[in-house]
Amino acid sequence: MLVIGAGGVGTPVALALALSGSCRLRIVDDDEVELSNLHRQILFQDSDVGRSKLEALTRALRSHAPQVEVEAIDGRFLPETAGEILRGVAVVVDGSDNFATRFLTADACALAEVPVVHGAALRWQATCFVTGAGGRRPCYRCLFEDLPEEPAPDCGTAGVLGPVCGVSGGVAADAALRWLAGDTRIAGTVASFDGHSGRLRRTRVQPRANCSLCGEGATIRELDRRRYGGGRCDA
Amino acid sequence: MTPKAKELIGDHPTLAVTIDRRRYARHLTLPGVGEQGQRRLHAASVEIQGSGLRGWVARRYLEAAGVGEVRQGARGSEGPRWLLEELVEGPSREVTAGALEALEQLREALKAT
Repeated sequence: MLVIGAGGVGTPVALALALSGSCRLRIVDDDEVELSNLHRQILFQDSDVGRSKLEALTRALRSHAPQVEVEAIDGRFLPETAGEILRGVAVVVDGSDNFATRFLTADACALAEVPVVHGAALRWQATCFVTGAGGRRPCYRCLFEDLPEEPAPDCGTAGVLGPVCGVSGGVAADAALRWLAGDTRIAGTVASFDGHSGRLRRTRVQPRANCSLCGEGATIRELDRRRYGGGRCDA
Repeated sequence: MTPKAKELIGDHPTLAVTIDRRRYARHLTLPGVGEQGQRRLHAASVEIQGSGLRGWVARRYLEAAGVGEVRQGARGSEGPRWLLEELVEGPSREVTAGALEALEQLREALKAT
């Protein structure tokens, strides 16, 4: 199992997966723990500020689940590195915090035929979108099409409540483990959680006929760095 | 409200002590929290019911959010119906349940005057 991003969503995902005892974990991230992370990234402590997130997360996971096997990849998920990072992975959980990485993850995994669970959290809302593999439709681009042209709100500008990240991470980990166990019925569904009401709604996404990744006449056949803004593409 | 907070600010949580703006930066820009909400969280005293992993997750989210006092209750916690219907029993459900319990407590604390 690969977790992309050791942030607000990625850390509860990693905790749940580690405690499940049913998979080896590969985690990719290149950030350090910052003070502003601590209100939502509950596996980190004040003493971790300034340290590598991977180092702090690996230590925290081993304290909760001593038997867990963690392969920490200190780097970015990039078009140039995606193939190697995905090698041997059964399911990917995308806990990245920017659209460039999410679209790259979607494209790389579709081309490599690896299922992806996209978890996200912003303000009081959490989402979890499960996409299949091996030509299963719909994909991430059926829902979001392409990177937004204007800067999109992120948790840095719009804020986020910590437990909303926890719900996103818990639901994403559940989806990933279900897929690993052979339950693929949730492919193509998006779970939306509203932190104000405490309700979760799951809806099925319709494939888009002219989707550039999985539609008829799909044009995305390789990972071209220019497609992801050519800039920030970190986890 | 914690006894210490009560002693400091009486019945006026909006007058509470200085906010750590870097630590709670994501709350200060969040509609429904903001500066006043953060002061309310600092002044709040809440009780969690979940135990084990569920309770640990709930407690950590509440502490991380800056809640003044987190006490352990003993009533137990089931969580909403969708939790049982949508998620398989195990750590993923427990992590989600803990986050949901923390969220419910934060909503209550933010409403409090």
